[in-house]
Amino acid sequence: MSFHIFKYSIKSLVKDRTALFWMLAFPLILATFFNLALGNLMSSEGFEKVNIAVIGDQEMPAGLLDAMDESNLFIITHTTEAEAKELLSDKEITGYIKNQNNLELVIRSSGINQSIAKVFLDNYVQISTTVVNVIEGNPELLQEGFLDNIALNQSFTAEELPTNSSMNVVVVYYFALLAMTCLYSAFAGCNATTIIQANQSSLAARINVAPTKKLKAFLSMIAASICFQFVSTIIAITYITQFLNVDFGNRILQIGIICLVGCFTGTMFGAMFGAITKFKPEVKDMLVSNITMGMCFLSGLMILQIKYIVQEKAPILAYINPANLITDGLYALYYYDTFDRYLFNLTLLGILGVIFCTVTIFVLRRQKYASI
Amino acid sequence: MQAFKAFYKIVPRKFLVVFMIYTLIFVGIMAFFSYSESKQTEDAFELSKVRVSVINHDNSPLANELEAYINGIARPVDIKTDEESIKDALFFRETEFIVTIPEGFQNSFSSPDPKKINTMSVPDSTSSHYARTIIDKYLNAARLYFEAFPEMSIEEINERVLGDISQEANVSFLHQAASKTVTNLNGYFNFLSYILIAMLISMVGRVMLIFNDKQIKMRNYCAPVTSKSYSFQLLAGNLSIAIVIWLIFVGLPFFIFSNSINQVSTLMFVANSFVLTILCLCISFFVASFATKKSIDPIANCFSLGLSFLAGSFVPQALLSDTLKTLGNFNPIFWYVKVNNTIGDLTIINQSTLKPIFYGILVQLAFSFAFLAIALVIIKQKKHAL
Repeated sequence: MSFHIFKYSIKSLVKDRTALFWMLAFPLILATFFNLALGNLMSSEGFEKVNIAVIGDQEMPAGLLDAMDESNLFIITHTTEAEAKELLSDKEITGYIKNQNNLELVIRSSGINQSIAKVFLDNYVQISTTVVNVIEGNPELLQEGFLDNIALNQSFTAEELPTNSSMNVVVVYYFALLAMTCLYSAFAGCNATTIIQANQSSLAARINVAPTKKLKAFLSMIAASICFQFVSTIIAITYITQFLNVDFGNRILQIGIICLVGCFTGTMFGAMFGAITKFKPEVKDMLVSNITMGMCFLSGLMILQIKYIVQEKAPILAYINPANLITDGLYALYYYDTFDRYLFNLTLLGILGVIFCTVTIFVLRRQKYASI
Repeated sequence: MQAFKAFYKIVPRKFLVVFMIYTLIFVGIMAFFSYSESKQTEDAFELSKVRVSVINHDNSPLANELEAYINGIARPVDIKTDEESIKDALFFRETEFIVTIPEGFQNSFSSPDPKKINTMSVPDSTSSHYARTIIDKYLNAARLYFEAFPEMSIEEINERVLGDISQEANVSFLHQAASKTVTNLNGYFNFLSYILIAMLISMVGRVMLIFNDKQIKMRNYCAPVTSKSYSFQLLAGNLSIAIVIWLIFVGLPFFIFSNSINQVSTLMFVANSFVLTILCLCISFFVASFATKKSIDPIANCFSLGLSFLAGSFVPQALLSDTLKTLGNFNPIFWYVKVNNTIGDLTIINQSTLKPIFYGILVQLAFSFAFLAIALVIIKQKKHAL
């Protein structure tokens, strides 16, 4: 490796404002947007007690309010009907219960909180029916004190926690974003092949007549782009975890390793793409960016569920997609206690990188230009 | 009309591909959303359907009846039963609630301490509370029958429980709720803001960049066309592109959701999106006035993603943080989405309910003028610098 070429490659990357934007600034901007837009997304999922108003001047069925209290599902307000209507219009409450002639729940629209209230009321009506039916079928039970011994609100379920870490699904967006950041090094990799193949740019023609070996020059450039991209990945990770306060867990070393391998694979992918295609540099850049975006899309950058769907329906696609391997590796680190899945993804990612690297070297080696 | 004609030679040649790509992505995403959307009926109350996966290890009559009951009331999701698949399915919210009925559940059911049904869900989520309520409801009723009539067969108990469970509390609506199509349209038009900015900046902005090229500009200024007419022709060209794009995207939802355009709220969505088109046109004018060929892509990305992310085009506005809502006052797209949501929520049409809609539209127009004015100032200054 030539340190000289390495140094100048880094310098030219830092001075290329377009590269700087896509490789460094764009992930940070996107992370900020994610944070602003998705910050409150999880709060909609967590259970908050359902706000229910009860019309105070109407007699409620015996035991209903106590049962509601005991269930820990509701926050009950006692109010008049006119006020309840107003609260409902302003969406302050989910609905209100009135009891003219029979029990009635008044709501604005269907939804899960409304369903909880409805099922609870249904339950009340149904248990009464069941008790009446039971006693009608076997009146002697009444004398045996059956009603005193039964539990009507017994719980038959035991909750099991999926893992001990949290289940914030939003982090996958950030993981896909990190995958994108790593893979954007493909720009630099692609650019490196353009300036090493003498038939593609005049700079390359100059480099080819220099006394440095082509492989040596090429590897120096590649090393420079991997380093540059790794630094910008670290900046992105620091920004996301420290400034945006997204919790990635505490396995920071392993996160770093997979990102480094990701940068390697990304750069080599770009290099391979640049070596085997013969488009103009702008077209190459556009294609590289679109392919990378496509990979990231499949790993859940835009729509999270896509990652799951691909994994379930087309697992092969998931295993050959570097973006998904990075995202999945980070996800495995975050969600699973063991390292198996992480290591599996890491290995596959590394193998892909080595394959890309081998293809590139085979295409590039011994290329001689009699005339250009 | 030379400038106008030149405009129309450039557009199909250079931007048809951009246009097609954006349209395809947009249609794909919309189709995905409308496919995955939970269905709500219009007037009747519909119970929310939690996505539940039942893993039945017991296979006894009681367990099977319970499974059938849960699958009837929830939305059953089949998942693979190895541990990793279960955990993945839960993490990606493919299923919200996993019920594992243990072996020997029925045998222990009548004992004082029955075996518990294992449930796994996103900790403390609303849907898990809901699903648990449903399961306990069924089993409590079954248990009552079990204790009262120990000799009764499971099938009969199930039949009786189902009979009892069909008793329901009454539900009524305060106002007629927004219909499903209106909710769909609301989402569609909210999302439209992203696509319109992105597309108009990349098309109008780029065409303007070509015309703004120094050499071409110098050539054009010495042509026997007054500068006024020249600007007017460019403006007409841009406006017609914008209108064509607008027409296409306004027409699309009526194919996707097979809706008719005669509802008042639909017309209001369409009108609001027209205002948005004007706004986006002014934004792209503004961007084109200072962007260069190299920087237009990054700027277009930042503008389109930024404005629409912060406006709640992707995520419901109600979920945005408070700071973002305050900042939203300075974001024209935020107003657009706000107007859309107001329209979507509209239950009665009168002066007081329409007022926020008109106000929001006026704010958008004010923003359009502001962007246009700044763009014109920049263009004028650049002309002097030429």
